[in-house]
Amino acid sequence: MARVLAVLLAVLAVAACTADPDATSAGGTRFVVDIEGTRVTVPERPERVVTLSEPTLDGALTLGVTPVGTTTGRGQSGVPNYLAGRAGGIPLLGSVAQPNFEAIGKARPDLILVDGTSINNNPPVIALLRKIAPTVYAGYAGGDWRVTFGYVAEALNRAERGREVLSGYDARVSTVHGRLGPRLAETYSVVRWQGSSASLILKELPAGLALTDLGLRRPPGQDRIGRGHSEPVSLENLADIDADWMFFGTLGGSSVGNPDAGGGAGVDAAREALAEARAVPGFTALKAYRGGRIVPVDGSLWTSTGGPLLMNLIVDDVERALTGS
Amino acid sequence: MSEFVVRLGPLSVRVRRRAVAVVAVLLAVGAAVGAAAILYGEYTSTPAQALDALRGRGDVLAQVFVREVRLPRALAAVVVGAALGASGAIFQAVSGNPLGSPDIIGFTVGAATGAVTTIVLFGGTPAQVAAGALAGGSATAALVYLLARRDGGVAGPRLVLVGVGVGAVLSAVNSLLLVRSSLAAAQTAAVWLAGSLNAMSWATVTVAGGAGVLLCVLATLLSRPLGLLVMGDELAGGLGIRPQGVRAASIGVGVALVSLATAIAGPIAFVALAAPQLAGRLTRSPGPAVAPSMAMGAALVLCCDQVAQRLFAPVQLPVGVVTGSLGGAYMIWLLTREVRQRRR
Repeated sequence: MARVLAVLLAVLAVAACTADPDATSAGGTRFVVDIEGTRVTVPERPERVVTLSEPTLDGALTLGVTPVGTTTGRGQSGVPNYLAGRAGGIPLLGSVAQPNFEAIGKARPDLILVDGTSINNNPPVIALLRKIAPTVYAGYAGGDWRVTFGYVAEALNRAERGREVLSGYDARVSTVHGRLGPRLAETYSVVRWQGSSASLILKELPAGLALTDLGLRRPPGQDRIGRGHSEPVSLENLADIDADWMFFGTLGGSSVGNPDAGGGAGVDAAREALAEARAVPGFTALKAYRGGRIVPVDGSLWTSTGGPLLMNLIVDDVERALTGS
Repeated sequence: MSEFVVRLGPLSVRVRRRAVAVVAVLLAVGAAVGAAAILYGEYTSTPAQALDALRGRGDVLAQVFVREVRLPRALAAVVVGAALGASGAIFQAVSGNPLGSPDIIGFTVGAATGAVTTIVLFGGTPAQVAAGALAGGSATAALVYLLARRDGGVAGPRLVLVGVGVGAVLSAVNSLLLVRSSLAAAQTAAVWLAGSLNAMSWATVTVAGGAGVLLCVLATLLSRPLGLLVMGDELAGGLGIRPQGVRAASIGVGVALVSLATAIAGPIAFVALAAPQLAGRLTRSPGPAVAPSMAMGAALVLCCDQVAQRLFAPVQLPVGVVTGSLGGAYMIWLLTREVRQRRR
């Protein structure tokens, strides 16, 4: 509720600013208020945008803006795997949470977009970024992807297009929901497999939100809001990962603190991880395994974070897996 | 003559020529790497441009990077390295054990517990996290000291064993805190735990630098009485020092040093372990080589931070990852060498 209020206030503030004659006379710049309430002077038509997190990269790409620089995806050595096709050519300016300031400066951005999934509670870093270019802090870690996307769209002066994207997602969700029929009576697990252990993607994370949007139910052990990150399951509780269906992804062996542990995040990597998971005692006894209803998915898509592109691609995956088209 | 005496008013220090030479060489290496760190970077194209920026001329953004990013970062590396080196030398001398470095006997883990608690439970800013690390390191040291105390004093092996045990417990606490925290907190903590010098501000460097210089002077003054302890408490007592007093003071200074370093940059692995040993080997010093260890630590952290920044550029590694990898290799070499020597 507080967040919704914050968005409303921000929208009002932006409206107030644009009504301000100063804003229009400022030579191609305008004001936006970011999620922290900071008034940022941004170009009216940003041309060199740098995104320093997955949600802001996803959001910019969704709105047809190709950043001139971005950071690596969580636990990955390049851009997030699910965006490789769209963003593969964008120069890397550091990794999530460890931006390379000089590389950012060299990219000569006119707008920097970042959020709490990358730079969290670190005013010195934001202050330094603001010396390089106008920086909009678009969302909090674990915040609503719609809210973050709203701030991204506002910063890029494409708020109208942003609203269309969100209503497009809602329309797509209800179409797919309509096709699921008997599948709606079953339960769905989302698992990230790392090394030889599992963690759960609960209902607050993007994949969990997409399943909820689609009206798909979770098994009892996963029918709750988590802490904003995947929740480890010890092997004696392996039954917690079971359901009628299991979406199964991996980010390789890596983590934020150890991004180069190797291993991919794609569907092939998920298949390999699944082959390894079979060796874990009890795994082949799981209902989803015996029923052949484990769906290998892209871990960067299903078990990390992003924006509208990510949400739509998850919905595509669900549709393909459950309706066969 | 391999030794000479430096007098400064009432203070006099006996100095070995070899130690002086080693410190001089290390300082030269440190200065060269430091100069490279300031003059070469991704944003500026030539050293001349960086030099202009350093003097406050030319491209405004270049000035920001050279004066507000590279310079404080290099200085922070020096302070952190020197503090870790000195603290390692002190603990190895106090415990009489080459493994008695603060990262192994739990003080660094304790500082991390303080920092992670501040991040996870209170959502602290970087300054509050640093305060948490200082408090955590000191509290852990006090706990280890009390548990290891026996008959009014502390014996080396007991200190190491108790420290390793307390460290193991706290390390589990750290993991628990991370698993039970929110995404935002877990992520901030993970970055902090990797040990990084990214985004050092002048405010941090000035405060930490002042404290670091003071503590390093104290550590240097303690190095001689500490050296005498190696001969055994009785003999050292006969030479006019109070062994338990020296030990307690040294532990205090050592803890302050390692907590300071951890507060600035997070836990930077292995420097406190390796710097004194490398310095000891180079100086062939029988006692604790506090000053050479400081110089070695500073040079090591400066070099490792350059490697961390440039190895996979533009993606930068946390410096702790580099020191950890190098330190791990060094540790394996040390252990295999010892095993081989024993077989002979």
